[in-house]
Amino acid sequence: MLHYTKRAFACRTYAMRQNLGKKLKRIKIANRDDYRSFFDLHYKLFCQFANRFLNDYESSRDIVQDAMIHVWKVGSDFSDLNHMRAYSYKVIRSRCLNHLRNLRVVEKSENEIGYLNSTIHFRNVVVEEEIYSFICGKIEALPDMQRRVIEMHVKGMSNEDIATFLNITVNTVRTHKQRAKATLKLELENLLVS
Amino acid sequence: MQDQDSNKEINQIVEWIKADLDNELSQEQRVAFQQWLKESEENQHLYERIKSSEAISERLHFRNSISLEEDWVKLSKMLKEQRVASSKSKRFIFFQYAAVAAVFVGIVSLFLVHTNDDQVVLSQDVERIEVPGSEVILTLANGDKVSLGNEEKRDIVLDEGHRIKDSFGELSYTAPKEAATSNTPSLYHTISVPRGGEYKVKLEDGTEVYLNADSELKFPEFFADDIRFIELKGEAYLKVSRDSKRPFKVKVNNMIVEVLGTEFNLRAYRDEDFCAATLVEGAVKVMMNNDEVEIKPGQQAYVNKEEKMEVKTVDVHAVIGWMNGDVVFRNESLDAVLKTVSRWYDVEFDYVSPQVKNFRITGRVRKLDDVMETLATIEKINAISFTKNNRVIEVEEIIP
Repeated sequence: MLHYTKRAFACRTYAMRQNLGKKLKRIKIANRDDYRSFFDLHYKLFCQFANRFLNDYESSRDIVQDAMIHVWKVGSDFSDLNHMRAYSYKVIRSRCLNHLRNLRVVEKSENEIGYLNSTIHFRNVVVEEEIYSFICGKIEALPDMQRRVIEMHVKGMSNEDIATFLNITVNTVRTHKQRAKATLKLELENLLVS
Repeated sequence: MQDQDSNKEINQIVEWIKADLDNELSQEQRVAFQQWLKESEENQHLYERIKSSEAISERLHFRNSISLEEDWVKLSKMLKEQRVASSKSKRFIFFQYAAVAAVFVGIVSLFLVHTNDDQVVLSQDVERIEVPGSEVILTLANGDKVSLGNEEKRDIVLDEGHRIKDSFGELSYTAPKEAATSNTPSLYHTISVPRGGEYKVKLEDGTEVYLNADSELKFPEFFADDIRFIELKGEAYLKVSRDSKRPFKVKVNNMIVEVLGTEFNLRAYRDEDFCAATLVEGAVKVMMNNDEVEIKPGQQAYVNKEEKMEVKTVDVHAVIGWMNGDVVFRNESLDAVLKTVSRWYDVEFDYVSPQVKNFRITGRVRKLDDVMETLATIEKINAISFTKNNRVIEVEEIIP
């Protein structure tokens, strides 16, 4: 027993020292550019996610910024991007719920907050916002006119209204829609029905 | 673990739905996806909500209102402020690691010497930095203080040719033979191990004492002819050399443990309201006031704050886990767990939500890990969040 523990005692201290070296290196790796690209990829998605709890654009953005700074501080130790993103969601959710609590909004009962904090709600919101962000990303990448037509379309505007608004013919609206449809290739009910 | 599973599940669902929207689901995926949809109404509703794409318009509007550039500027400004504020703390963290490294470099070398076949090269980037107040201190009987572990090897020469050798992180003696046999009363030295440290002492009779963090050992240069007596605060694992002529006694708080030759663990931290002696091998007698019990291997004599003693059967591996650098907690309060963590890493915990102190924790924590990694494990399975700020870590409950 002692022989074993003695060895472990020494092994561990060696590993500890090795770890120290790694740790110092790892802090250096997480540089500003890495963080910027993480920000570019996730910021809007995170804001959407936060807004599902807060229903307030302004506070959502503030909370996501705070949360990202927190993640940045612990950030050198994530194994990969997925891990970092999953952790960010958790941090954002916890901060949103704290924010709601601090607001002491009478309508926000403990029950409701309990639901907002549930695993199933978390899963649904993450899945939905990831998908919405995926779709929005595709739409945003469309050529300008196609994008504007699609944006108005999903708002519920008719082809005629869009034509009037953009000062183009109804036929041109249709053409833009068809081209957009061909690019997006998305099987969505509310998108590109006509 | 649960957390990872749910992350996996989320990633899987997102992957399926994306492929479904792109009409790129493989046959195999389609079957699995359909299966998942059938699993619950919740799943179906989720899919339907997404398919209806009613939410897209609002998302597009929100996203359009966000300027990445503007918010990035805001964020980097905040980052800069944070960095200025935390640069001090970062240096401190480095010192902390450096201190641990400094204390342990000796033991590491010893290990290397003994196992030559292990091809381990000591890199030269380890700097030994003196950190006042955070090193192992030997207080000699005459009051002199000597710091240990900052150099690989050193001799502390005492009066009359006695030497205390601090070699490779282990304390041992050499002394003139006549001194050992003389009857002059021996002087007691004290060795204190700081929070975040560990140290091993080999006593004159060959007894080995492994001291855990935040512990103190009072021991004589030479034991008397009829008794071997030491005093301990904190936690230690002792391997007592057999010597039937001189019983070995350890005093911890008001408890006295008497042994002949055995291996056992003692724990009596100031900030905990109990002390415990756990036997690994042999037999020991534990005395408390007028109470006296003998414990067998696998048993623990546990003394509570009312100084009532009871004998428990315990998991020895969990008790001495700290020797191997990991500790198993079984249904212990968060408060107790964090006390251990704070000793290991020399950090303080500030309870923003005091009610979390009583959360029950079951799990295993490894000492090798970074403190925040260790805490992340606890964070994952409990509704608790930890925020580190210098050496103080805030503990906050996340909404129920």
